[in-house]
Amino acid sequence: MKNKSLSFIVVLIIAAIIVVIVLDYSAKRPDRLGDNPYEYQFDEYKEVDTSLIGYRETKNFPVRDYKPGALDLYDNLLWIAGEQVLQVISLAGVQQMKTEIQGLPTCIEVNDQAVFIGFEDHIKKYSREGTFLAEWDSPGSKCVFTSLASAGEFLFVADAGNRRVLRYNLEGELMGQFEGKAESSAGHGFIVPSASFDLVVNSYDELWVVNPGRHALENYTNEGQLRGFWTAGSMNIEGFSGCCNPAHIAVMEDGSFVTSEKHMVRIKIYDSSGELKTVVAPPRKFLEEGQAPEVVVDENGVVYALDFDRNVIRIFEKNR
Amino acid sequence: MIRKNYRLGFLVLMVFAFLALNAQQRFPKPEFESGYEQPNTTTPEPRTAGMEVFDVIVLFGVMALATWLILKKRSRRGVLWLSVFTLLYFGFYRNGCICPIGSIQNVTLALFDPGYKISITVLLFFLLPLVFALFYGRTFCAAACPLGAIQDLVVIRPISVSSWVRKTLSFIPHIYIGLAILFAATGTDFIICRYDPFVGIFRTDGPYLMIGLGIAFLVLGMFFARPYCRVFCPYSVLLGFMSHFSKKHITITPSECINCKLCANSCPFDAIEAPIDEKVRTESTVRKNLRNYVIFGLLVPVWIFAGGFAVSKAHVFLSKAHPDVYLSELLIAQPELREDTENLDIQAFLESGKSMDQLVEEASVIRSKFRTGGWYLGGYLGLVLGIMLMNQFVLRKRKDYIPHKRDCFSCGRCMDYCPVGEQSGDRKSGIVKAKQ
Repeated sequence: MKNKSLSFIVVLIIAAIIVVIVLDYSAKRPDRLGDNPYEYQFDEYKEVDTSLIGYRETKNFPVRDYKPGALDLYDNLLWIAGEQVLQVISLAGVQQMKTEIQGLPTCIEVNDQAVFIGFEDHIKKYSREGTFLAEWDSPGSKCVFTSLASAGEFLFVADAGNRRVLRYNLEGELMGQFEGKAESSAGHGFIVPSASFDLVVNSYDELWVVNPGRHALENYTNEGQLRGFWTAGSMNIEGFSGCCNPAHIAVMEDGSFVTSEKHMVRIKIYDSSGELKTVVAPPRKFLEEGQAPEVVVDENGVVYALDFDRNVIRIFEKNR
Repeated sequence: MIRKNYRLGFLVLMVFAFLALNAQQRFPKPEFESGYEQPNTTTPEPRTAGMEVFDVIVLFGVMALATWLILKKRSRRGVLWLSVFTLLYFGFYRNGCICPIGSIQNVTLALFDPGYKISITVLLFFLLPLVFALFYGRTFCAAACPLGAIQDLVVIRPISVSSWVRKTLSFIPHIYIGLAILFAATGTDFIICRYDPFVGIFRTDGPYLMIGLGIAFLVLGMFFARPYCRVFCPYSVLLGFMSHFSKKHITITPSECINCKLCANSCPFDAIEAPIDEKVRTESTVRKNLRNYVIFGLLVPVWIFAGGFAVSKAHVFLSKAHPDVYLSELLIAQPELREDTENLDIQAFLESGKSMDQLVEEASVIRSKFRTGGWYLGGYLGLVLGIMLMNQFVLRKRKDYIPHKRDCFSCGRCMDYCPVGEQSGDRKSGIVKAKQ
């Protein structure tokens, strides 16, 4: 069936399609784009119901003259490892010690035997008086150490670069490592898109590791067997947002966790099974798109947050 | 033995199915609350290496089966059901990616950019249909292309358009493939993928414009069969060229053509050439056509030069398609835009740490590539035009209805309509079935 008018219509439609494609292509230029339809609007998540906020900021200790890298709390003292500096201050903010170290630390762990300071790919051991004792060899390439925690005779090291947890004895001998993989679907392995990979040991010597890509906290045996986990992925206050949160955690005496998130910065407390207990500091307390503060918590539940954006340790106490 | 092969095949399928079920992304998507509209990506989520190989095996299997159905079994129904499978697998399950049509750009970029590598599976996706076309015609188009399959299924009332319209429209794929190669070679864009009209339908989440275009193509395809294949598909240029040399192309009749014309009426693509009346071949006509053929043949270099000159002159305009060229011109003309924090392209450039001088230098190199590429593109288009014009004066000898090797999609409709059956000795008793 030949039909001239139909042929004409076909040509017309094809011409229209070509025109639409050309117009669409030319419209997608940097100066011709309208508002970004994919812009993530998360202002609403920055506002937190005040009834959920159980803490208030009471004071802060400025960190002067050096760039802080990590914070720990031991023996009622705050241990700050920074660029070329190891500083110890009391919980009242009075300096107890300040000594020189080499390099920019990324993590610190203090126990009754020594001070362990983690750098990008190695660990240095100091006495609690600040005397250098030993440097442990790097366990391989691509290491990015982000967290240390000791349990009895072991020191656990979070290696974000290789997405693994290393287990040393306190003399620096590598005893084992694991990547969080298990046969169950829960044991996917550590998903670490950025250098945010924290771990803690609670008062029962149980190892908890953040799996940031899954927004999960995972409990492992010393040998790396997954024992349990909980996840809380959400932009809402009940969960963790973004690619890799919580960026930092601390554990309280009762097994609850203090969590700190980056980008939309917020500090919260969850019970040991992952239920949100309270909010320590909502996003409006921090810079927009800021870094996650390193957090530690004392036996009274006071939270100390090392705010890297402002170089200050901020203290949050429970509301009366 | 056959049963054993079936079992082996089934086992292999099960292994790949298991792999597919257990495939996981290395990094899961970040959590987004409902209400957030996620951008559509031009490529679907990555596959495991094993599944990519499986896709190649499926493609090869489908084309082999299609070839067998067309050349040996002569089953239009078989081709139809195979194309349904293709639509489901390569279309809706594989989201239309990777496809041989888009692979033109991957191959091109790999040839021109040493930093860009393609996997062997991508290369096979590009080459396999061409190899099949070289030997057996466009069996890929018949049943292994999801874009062809979705259009083939909506052909309701095909119309036959004028010969001059067909010939004019057939020039568009040459422009499209030329631009696609130029854009890919200069690292500008993958326009074939960006304007694949059916990907939005396959993924059910494309931009409204692309879904609209896909629907427009399907509506148009109800009457003008396979509009994308015939008027746009850049891969059809390569397939048509290879198919032109195929020895074992689909035949309409299994034995002798009786010139009933049923096949020509059955073909929705106007891809069947009618017999040529010998009376047309008068001595004066032959002489006149020969003279014109020679004249137009001599003009081919002129078309090539004119095309190359014209397109190379358009290199300034064409190169603006490259984001770096456009951005450099924009920032020179409107430096105040650097302060526009909402402009993602400009902010991305500023945060890259690149200086304005570097950007301008890079833009200049790209523009130079467009100038050179413009000569090749224009020259190619001039050559195609010249050959098309020469072909107007070729007087062919043809006694039977035969499929046009370049344009035929090997869909098998014509052989289904052909009333001539298989011969078994007496050629005159060839008519064993007849259809309306």
